[in-house]
Amino acid sequence: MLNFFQLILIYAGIYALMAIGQNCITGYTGMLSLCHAGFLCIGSYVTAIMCKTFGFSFWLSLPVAAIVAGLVGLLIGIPTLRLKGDYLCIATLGLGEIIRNVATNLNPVGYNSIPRATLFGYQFASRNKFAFILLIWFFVLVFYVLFQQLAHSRLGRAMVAVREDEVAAQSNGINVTKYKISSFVLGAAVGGIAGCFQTAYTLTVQPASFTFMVSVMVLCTVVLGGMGNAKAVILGAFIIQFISYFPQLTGLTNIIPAQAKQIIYGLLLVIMMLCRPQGILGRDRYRYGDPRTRKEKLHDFFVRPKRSVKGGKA
Amino acid sequence: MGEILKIDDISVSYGSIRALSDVSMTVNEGDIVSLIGANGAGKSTLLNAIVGLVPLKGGSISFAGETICQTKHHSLSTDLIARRGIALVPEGRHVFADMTVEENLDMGAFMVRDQALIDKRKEEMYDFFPILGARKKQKTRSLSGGEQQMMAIARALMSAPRLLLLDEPGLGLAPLIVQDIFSKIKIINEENKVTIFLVEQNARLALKSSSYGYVLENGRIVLQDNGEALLNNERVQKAYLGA
Repeated sequence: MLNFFQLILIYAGIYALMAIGQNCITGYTGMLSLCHAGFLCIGSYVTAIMCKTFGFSFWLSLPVAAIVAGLVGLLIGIPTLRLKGDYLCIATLGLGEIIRNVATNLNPVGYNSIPRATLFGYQFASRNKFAFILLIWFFVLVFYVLFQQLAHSRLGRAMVAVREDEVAAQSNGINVTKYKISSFVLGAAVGGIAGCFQTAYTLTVQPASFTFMVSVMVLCTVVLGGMGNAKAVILGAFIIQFISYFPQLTGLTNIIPAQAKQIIYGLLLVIMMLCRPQGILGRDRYRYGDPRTRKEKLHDFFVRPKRSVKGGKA
Repeated sequence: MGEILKIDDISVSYGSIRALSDVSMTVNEGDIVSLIGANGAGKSTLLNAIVGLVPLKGGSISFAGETICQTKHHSLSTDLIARRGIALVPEGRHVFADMTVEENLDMGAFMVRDQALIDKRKEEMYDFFPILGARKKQKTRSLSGGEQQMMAIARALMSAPRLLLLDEPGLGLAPLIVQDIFSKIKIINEENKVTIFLVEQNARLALKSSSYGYVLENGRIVLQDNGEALLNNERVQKAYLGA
């Protein structure tokens, strides 16, 4: 039982990282992309190849994976990000599949027995889940803070403007293409890092584990938690992973088939769209240069309707 | 003063449909120039062409002596044109609806890097449009149409443009509010020394406030004269003023 909870925590961490990347693309800039499995794949393969074939350390593969995934994001972003809405969605969906097929052709069985990651002499062994939980969630925290900073920065502001209204953004001097590509590249890089950790934990990579369903799951995570809200997508990652391991947790694997989780995801999305389209926590309100104190913010959080009426005269 | 915007023989097509044919016009620095015409005459297309939102089929547009738009590969992108000092208030306002008024103004000053200057300009805007000052913490979505229009103008002014393009500032607003907006436009022109080029359905009000006017019909300039003269022109009176 404890084992499963630990497993959920590990995968929730990996998905939280991916969701942070997807949130940058879909939540902030508003581009519907469906190729995060591809970036995860790139990260995983970079780590596998660097550690196994060339014997580099895991820590070196981490930035390399981010850079490679980011570069691929840049290369495919330049032609595809001119597309909008459904077209972008279909183009990125195809790209995710292309990356997986390239990986399959590279090595159809993938890589096994990849060397473990070590830190100051300590080996991260798969059976010691607690160490992995600490490792992954430390990085989730780091990227959470980084992307929270990003959201409040000039770059984040421009991304939100692009999402809200491209014409208005352009006529205010915002280079729409530049910010779309930046956001795509950043999101892709974080996806690559998530791949590193997946490889470090499972010590194997197989092309079959980077299917389209993974991209859908990441998108579900973001929609479920709340688009444009880094905290919410981490919560979403927990929920999605919990559902995914529900049969094992309850010991009902004989009764609930593995495919049931896909039905549950679908149902969940439909219910969310009907009842709470903004996600569980909703979009984060970024007040640039918010003059309110922490106390006022808390007050606003709990008694919002009262304040927003007189808020204008403040 | 010299000419600030020169449109030279431009044509624009949407697929096989010609929206503008051989349009030439000039806007002199410090003037208010208006363009009137019926629905579908190509007024918005012309403004969008100036800021590079629609590509030209032929001709060229120059701003302050430098060419900004030409055929496809020789045009600046919209954000670069905005950086040169042309601000567009698009038709239908295009406000950032989920942002507050203050955040919208901040976005208008995206090109300005000096926070003190941004704050100063914001205060000027709140002085100039008191209603925006009162609503600065509200989401723009909750503003009335007239308030949103004023906010869109204020946002455009945040970058301190040399040329302000207004696309139907009176669209869908009550006559009194339209009057108010036009009086503000006059003040902006006189006090801030911003050249204004506006497109409007309300021909009478537009021509009254303008020093020069153009009439666009089916993508062609058919008339041009001083605002006053156009108001008294028989053809204009018949077609646009309902006289």
